[in-house]
Amino acid sequence: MSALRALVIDDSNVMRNMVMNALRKARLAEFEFVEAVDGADALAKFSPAAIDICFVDWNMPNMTGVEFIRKARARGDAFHVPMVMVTSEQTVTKIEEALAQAGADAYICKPFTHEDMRMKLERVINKVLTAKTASAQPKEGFFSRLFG
Amino acid sequence: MAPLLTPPAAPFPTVISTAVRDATVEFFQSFCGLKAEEQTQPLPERPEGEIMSTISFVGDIAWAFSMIFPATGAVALAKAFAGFEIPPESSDLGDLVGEVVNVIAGGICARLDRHGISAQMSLPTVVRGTNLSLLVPSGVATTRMAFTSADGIFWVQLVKAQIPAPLANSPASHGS
Repeated sequence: MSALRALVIDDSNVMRNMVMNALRKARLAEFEFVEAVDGADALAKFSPAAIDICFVDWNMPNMTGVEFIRKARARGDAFHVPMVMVTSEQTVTKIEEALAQAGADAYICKPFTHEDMRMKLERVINKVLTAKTASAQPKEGFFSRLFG
Repeated sequence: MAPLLTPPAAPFPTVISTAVRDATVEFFQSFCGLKAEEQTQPLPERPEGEIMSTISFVGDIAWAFSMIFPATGAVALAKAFAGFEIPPESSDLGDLVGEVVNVIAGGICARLDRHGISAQMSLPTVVRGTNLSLLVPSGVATTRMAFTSADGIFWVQLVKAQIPAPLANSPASHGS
């Protein structure tokens, strides 16, 4: 099984490391990490072909995490890439804005533990792993029917 | 000629200072495994080498929240909160203090929200130096708290923004 390519977006270097450490400890999958320091940097590094899942802080300079999600979703080819908010914003209004309006798939409040990550991400990560496995398998086509 | 009088400082809103106190104690207890207790006794001299992070809030009340850690305390906090060592001279130590203040600010907003008080927080700013504090004009509501934990002392300062009524109501503030 190949590793999941995760884009970790946070303006704090310390917090990006905490997110990556927690994901490693949660042992839901193997990860290869790409880091971005704000929403604009993330948008430049994001491509649905190269990134399997995004972990997104809310409050960042230049472009917020929610703006990043809206712009990534607006591309039209990235609906299958899960967007996980990882933020200190924890009011119901903010959670609703991220999940119901911007298009985030999961919401993790800071501070978090690797157990929180495991509990909240198991379903999302399994879905990504299943899709990745299916896309890696050879399609049954003319030649496989002819020679298989 | 009448003497110039300094206006008395208005009391800082108790609902905010309580939310700050509770969010701070909960953060240290739940996520650092440290019991932070507010101190009312006179504290020793402030050590040299401090890190201060400040977040401002807008919404129903405009105010600012600063936390000040001695560098030695911030090193211990890094180990307790982030789970890894950060050397005292590293710029990541300021980054960590900013993130701690950001996380506590999230807890404060959630507590105020439960009281029906809306608050949107800014990004944290971080400075390093000695004897750091927010400069506050006379008459502005402010309060200070000091906490001790197993990792040492840290300070909190809260300042309520003073919005000058004559400016807010002037024709110029309504645009043309």
